[in-house]
Amino acid sequence: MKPLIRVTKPTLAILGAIADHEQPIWGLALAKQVGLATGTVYPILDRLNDLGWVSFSWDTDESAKGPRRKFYSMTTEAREAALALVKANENVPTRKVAKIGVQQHA
Amino acid sequence: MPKLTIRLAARLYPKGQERAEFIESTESDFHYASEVGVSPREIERGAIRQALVYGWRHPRIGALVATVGLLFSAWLGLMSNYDFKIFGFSSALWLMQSWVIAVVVSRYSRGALSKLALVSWAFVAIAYFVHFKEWRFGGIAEACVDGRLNSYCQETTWGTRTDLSQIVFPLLIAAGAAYLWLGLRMIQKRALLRGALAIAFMPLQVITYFMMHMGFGTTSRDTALIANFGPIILSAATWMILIASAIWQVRNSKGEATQAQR
Repeated sequence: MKPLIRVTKPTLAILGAIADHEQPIWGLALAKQVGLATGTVYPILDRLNDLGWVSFSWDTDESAKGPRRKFYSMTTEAREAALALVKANENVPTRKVAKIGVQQHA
Repeated sequence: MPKLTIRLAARLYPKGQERAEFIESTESDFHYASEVGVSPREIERGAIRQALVYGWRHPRIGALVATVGLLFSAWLGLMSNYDFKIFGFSSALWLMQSWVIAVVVSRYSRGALSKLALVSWAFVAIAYFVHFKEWRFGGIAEACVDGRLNSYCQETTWGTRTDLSQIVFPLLIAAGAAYLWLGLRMIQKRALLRGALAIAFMPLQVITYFMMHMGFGTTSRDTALIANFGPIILSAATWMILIASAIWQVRNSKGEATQAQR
């Protein structure tokens, strides 16, 4: 797992939402839950996946008629760090979030 | 069959698994969108943005921009005034150097150097538009050669040749500041080599540009020699830096791979 350098409010919202789920969550359901556009959510998920914070898996439900869905989950080693990061930034104004994120995980 | 926009956006991913996964997950989002009440239009917009962000962070957009810049510079080199053919080629060489550097460096980085390529592209495009106007339409270079504007050519110094040329200098400063800023940011992120390269690239570009500028309307053989061969020598120096850094990068990545295997 690599350190998370740029921690924005949407990143925190996504980290918090995935860390809250024990089971993998579908990307579109996650976007709906955090109230952000898919164009914001998916690039963040890609970045978190590259850094090893989030992993993805494909839907294994063979009864589904449509294309396979992509599910996301927090990696075991990232869960604690993600929850700590979300907690530390709970009352921080948006503009200060990135700086604090760097200090904590650099 | 995915929509045309999705197929086009998918081309920003390298051919293979990543592209196939992008298409498949987008298709499934379209298929199940009604379950979560998201409109297909939003999914389409989101997928395009996702692909653009991917292309921006990986070298594909940077490489595309750089290739366009390279073709543009080669074309300008070939189109330059007949009396300045060699000058045109050395300028083209300089531009090619800029773009190859942008491509090579962006291989080892993410978004920051795509931005560098864009800054560079914008800078040279405007700078060359300015000079192109002089060569082709303003006729200043020709007038300097045939003596009609002799006193003007002798009096003028770099940057005061025409009002249009004045644009180049703020641009040089802006491009220099951009390189410096990016270099410092990369060093701050512990990407020492890339940072040093970006910072070293700035003075090299500026010196090369000044050298080429000396060729305008000069009657001195020595000045002409510097203007024509100076950029070539500097280009060679930059290439050497590049090759050395590429070797360093390859060795470094091999070392990391060996460590990972252990």
